[in-house]
Amino acid sequence: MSEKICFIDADVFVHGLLESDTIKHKASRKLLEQIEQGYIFCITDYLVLTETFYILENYRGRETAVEMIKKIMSLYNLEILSLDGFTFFEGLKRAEKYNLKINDMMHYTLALLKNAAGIYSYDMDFNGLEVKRIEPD
Amino acid sequence: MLTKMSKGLQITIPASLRNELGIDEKTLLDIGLDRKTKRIIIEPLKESSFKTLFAKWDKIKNRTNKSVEELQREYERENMLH
Repeated sequence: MSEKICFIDADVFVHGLLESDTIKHKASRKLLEQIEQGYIFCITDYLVLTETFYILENYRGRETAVEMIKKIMSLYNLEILSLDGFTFFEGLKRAEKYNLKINDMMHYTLALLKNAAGIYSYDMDFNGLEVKRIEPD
Repeated sequence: MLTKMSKGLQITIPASLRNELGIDEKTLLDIGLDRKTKRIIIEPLKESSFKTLFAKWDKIKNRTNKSVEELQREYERENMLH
């Protein structure tokens, strides 16, 4: 899996940055460090970062949340994608086919359009789709 | 150092400055304007390593006992994603 691009969901960033669940924390932190060290290349989007920020802010306050998101944004091997009209429309076309929340639909569409090999997420809603859900290990 | 904008309104950061700051084409730059002095400020977004930051962040206490999943649901409700 490591030689192919994978999409990262908000819960993986959150678990990597703070310890709420020890197993998820260790695995997600390892993944973030592997991205930083250039062993793997991943993608995410700004909707994911918004959700990540919301959760981090609740846990650690705004100042630390800003610092954490800035660190994520500075990772060379993480491409952060914007949601443009084209992607949004592609997501809308798929909205009836998939039972995903609208933001997850957009994440999934971006992953699909980027030919991602997987979606790193703990959210079971991504189960059973063409782009398979994977958990950091 | 004096430089000129290209036709595409781009500027090149001189190699000597890039080398001194350890920045390259992948570095994110925060560009702002100091309105008082009319200076354009370009600040590289260069963060410390996760190792250093984790050591700092891990000392900060959580402000909530809610689980990540609870906060995700809260976020979805607040943003009407459900």
